[in-house]
Formats: sequence, structure tokens, C-alpha cells
Amino acid sequence: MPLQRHVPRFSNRQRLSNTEANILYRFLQREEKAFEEVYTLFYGQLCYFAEKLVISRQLAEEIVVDVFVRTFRSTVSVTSMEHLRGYLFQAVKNQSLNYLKREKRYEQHLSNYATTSQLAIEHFENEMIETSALELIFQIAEGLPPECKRIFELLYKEQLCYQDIAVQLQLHIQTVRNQNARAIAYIRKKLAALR
Amino acid sequence: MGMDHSDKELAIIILRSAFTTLNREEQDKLSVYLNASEANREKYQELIDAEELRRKMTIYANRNENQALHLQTILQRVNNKTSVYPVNFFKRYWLAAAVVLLAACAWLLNRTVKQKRAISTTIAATAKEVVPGKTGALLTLDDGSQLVLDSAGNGILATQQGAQVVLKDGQLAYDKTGAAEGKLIYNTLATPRGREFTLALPDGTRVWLNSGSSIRYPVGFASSERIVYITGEAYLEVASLKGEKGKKIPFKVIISAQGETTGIGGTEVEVLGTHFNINAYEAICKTTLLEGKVIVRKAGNPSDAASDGLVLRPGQHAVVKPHSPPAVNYSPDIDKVMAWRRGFFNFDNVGLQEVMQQLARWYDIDVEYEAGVPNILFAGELSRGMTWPGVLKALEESQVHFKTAGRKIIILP
Repeated sequence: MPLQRHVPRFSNRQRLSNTEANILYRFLQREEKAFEEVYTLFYGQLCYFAEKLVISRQLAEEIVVDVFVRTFRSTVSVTSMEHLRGYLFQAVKNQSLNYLKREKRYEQHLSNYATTSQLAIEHFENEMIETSALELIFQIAEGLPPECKRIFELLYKEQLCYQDIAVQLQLHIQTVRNQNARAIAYIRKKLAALR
Repeated sequence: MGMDHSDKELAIIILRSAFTTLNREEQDKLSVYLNASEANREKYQELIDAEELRRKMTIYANRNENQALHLQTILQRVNNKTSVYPVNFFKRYWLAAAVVLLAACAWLLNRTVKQKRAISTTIAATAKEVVPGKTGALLTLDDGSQLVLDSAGNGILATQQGAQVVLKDGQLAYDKTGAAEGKLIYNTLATPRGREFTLALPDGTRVWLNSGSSIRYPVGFASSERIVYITGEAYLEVASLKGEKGKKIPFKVIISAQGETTGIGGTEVEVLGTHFNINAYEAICKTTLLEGKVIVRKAGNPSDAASDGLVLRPGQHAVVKPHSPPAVNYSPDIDKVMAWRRGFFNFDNVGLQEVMQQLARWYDIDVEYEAGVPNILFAGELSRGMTWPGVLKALEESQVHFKTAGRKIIILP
């Protein structure tokens, strides 16, 4: 008996453009490559969100993996990427809530939060807002000029200080400061242009 | 509020209030949000505080670390509904796993009649120390010092002839472009069995190294030509580079034999175009062209005599064997050649020995044949993310008789 064939074939020379509509279309066609693209788009956001809810990185990752497996196995009817995003966040939220209830960590968890949040619902919403805000910043930063982006990443992804970056990149510390200011100005401009 | 897009809208309003200004409507929305609860006001303060935001950004940015790893798990579980769960997953998350497993079983019951395929959920546990390959490599610098890239974090690893060697998201790159001055200084990147790696050469050429392969390259190319040396299997996307007077700087790949015994040492691929795959594991060098144009020639032939080389067009495949001139295959199975880059083994029409060689390189296992190589031909594809027990199961289903002992698999008649 032969090994099972697992994927539909696709030609390497027929890569379609990766617009959102295109990804969604191929996702709905259950194309594996589109699963990967959807996964790449949302994995980090969902992990961050889940971790905020269950306060365990490993558990958060397990929840996200599980949600993706179930999403990719079933036929999800969504009409836009925005819709799909909402669906995934909702699924991660439900799964996290189930876990907290099952583990009886829910009450304890909420009591830990009692000082900052009276209601779980606010908690979920606020963590979603935070996740969206962070995703937005990094999305905007993707458009920074290369040199500026590099310094931005060292500052905010690696959390290096100006001095360390100056040494590492053999630049003057003022240059690093200037690039940071440039990055902030760019983000400000893009934020102002958003509606 | 829930899962409509209001979280995004509020995120934009909050960020805008921190970075720039709000219009009237936005100010009203923010007021409603802030007046609703103490929790909202605290979240707002957290997000507009520069240091706090920076701390959150770092955590956020690093949540992608296991992304590639988990993708493999997910695709495997989606494709492979018999569902072999990682052990720790069961321990920590048994209830949800059981639910999914029940669903999978129900699904399988429906399918069993059609597929005549037995369900086995007990194949985990055996030989769990054998795992699929992953990202990793050994970098040898000019002075002979070596760096293991399996677990090294992002950052600058070394400086070579003024070029910084940077590791970022599991990929190696050199930050300096432009021609080298003086003597060429070489680095070697080698993947042991069970590892693969991606590299960006100083000229922007991208190289994917399959397991058990290596590439030797200068940290800055000469201005007249670019030459790299490859063993094993690699896929290259060569960057076009123009020198003085706008003349294209040629790119050549020399297939170095792993010991001269293979007899294909010195096969040379001159690149006139871009995307191609070289497979030179055995005593045969196979070059497959996806895009552009390459010339394949055997060592010793004068490089200016194009007639001595074999010109490949996209979709063609050249085979160089010892003691015979290069031969061309006009319609190779490109999907099969490129399966490794898609994360699959393609075993269409492949014999047992070749199948076992590929598995050995990826799972870092040893293969023995108790009484010769049984004559079995395979078909189909297998995910490179497949667990080793999953692979054994697939072999079993393909009527291969074997026993295992640690990292060794012994093929029985």
C-alpha cells in the first residue's frame, strides 16, 4: 500500500499574488499553502492574546495550535480576512476560557485580576485591544526604510539600548537616536493617515 | 463589543492619542471607553506609557519564535487524522486532546470502509528520541573557528573582512555588499544530518541547504566572478549583479565531491539566470532549473567553450554521472525535485534504498539491510514534519518489514 498523498500539488511557477482576497479565496478552497499564509498572519497575535488570558506561554501555544488544527480541518465560512481574524480570536478566547474553568484556575485568576479588572469580559476586550495595538505598530514598522527598520527592531524587538546598538552596528550613538526619532515620526505619520 | 472590529478601532484611537492627535469623534469614543471602567483606564495608561509599551512590544515580537515548529505540528495533524499527539500535549491538555481524538475517530470510522485503513493511536512512545530534522547548521569561519547555529539567538555572530555575519530568524546573512578587496576570505556553512538551513550570500543570492550538505563561499565576492562550492543538495535563487560597464558578473557553482570517490567532483554550473536546485548526494549530480538559464559542464573543460557545456532551459534537468558527458532530461517532475523545499518527501516511483537514504539524512538514523534491499517501489508524499513513529507506520503500510533498535532501522526481507 502506498504512502498517503497529503497535499494537493501546485506548480512552483504558478505562485499567485498574496493579496488578502486571494489568500482568503485559496483558504476557502482548502489550499494548504493558504493555510500556511493564514497561520503566518495570525500566529503571533493569537499566541500573545492567549498568553495574556492563561498566563502561560506553553499553554497559550498549545491552545493556538489546537485552534488552528480545528480551523483547518473544518470548513469555516467566513467572508473576509477580518471575519476570519474575528473567528480565530473568538476561538482562542473560548478555548482559553474552557481551560481556565476546567483547571479551576478561573476564580483564582479572576481574583488575581480583581484589583485591575472587575469583570472578565473587560479583561478579554482589553487584551484584544492591546494585541491589536501591538500588531498595528509592527505592521506599520514593516514599511520603514531598511536601515531605520533594523535599528527599530534592535530597539523594540531585541530591547537593546542606544549604546549597545551603536557598538554593534559601528554607528555613532546620535545616529541611532536619530533613526529612532525617524521611526517614531514615521509611525506617527502613518497613524495620522489611518482612518 | 466582543469580536467585531471595535478592538482594532480602539487600538487605533489609543495609539493615535499617544502619538498624535484625535478628532472630535475619536475623543468622544475614547471618553466612553475610559469612563466605562477602572480596568479600561489602566489599560490605556499601560499603552500610552513609552517604556511599558516598549516592554510589551518586545514580548509581542518574540512570540513568533516557535512559529515554524508549530506549523509542522499543525499541518501534520490536519493532514494526518490518525493524530499522533506529542506526549506533553496529552499530559497538559488531555481533555481537549481527547475531544479532538474522539472527533478524529468518528471521522475515521466514516472513512474506514473506503480506505481500509486501521486506526492506531498507540504508535507514539516508540523510539521517541528520533525526531524530524529542523533548522540548524555549523558555520566555519576563515580562521577555522566553528559556530553551531542550532540554538544561537538573533544577532551578530562574527565580523569577517569587514562584513558582519548576522543570524536572524534562523537565517544567516552578510551585511556588506560590494566586491571584496584583496584576498578572498571563505566561510563554510554545513548542515549535518537532521538539519537544514537558509543563507543569504553577500550578493543577495539566497541558498537553501538540505540536510547533509555544505556550501563554501567568500564573505565578499570578487568583482569579476562569483564562485561557490556545494556538496549535497541546495536550492539557489541567484541575485543578478552587474559590475563595471554594466556587465553581468557571472555566478558559478562548483560541485565539490565529498571525497573524489564520487567521480562527479568539479562539475560546474554556470548561472545565467536565477532559480535552480542541485542534488549531488550520490555519485550523480542532478541540476534542475526552475527559472532562467544555466550551463552545466564537467571539470577541465574550458569555460569559454559553451559548446562543451549543456545549456538548460526552465523545467529541464541535467544529470552528470562519472565517466560520461552531461545528459539532459527535458521533462523532469519538478514538484518531486522541489518537494524538500515545500516540506515534503516525494517518493513517487522511488525505490526502498533511496527512500531510506532520504529518511536517514532527515531523521539522522542508520539503516541496515539484513538480507539485501527488497524490491519495493513507493508512491506519494510524506511530510518532513512527520514524527518518526508516523514514518514507521507509513513504512509498515507499504509492506516494508523491519525492526528498530534505537536510532537504527534494520530492513528485513
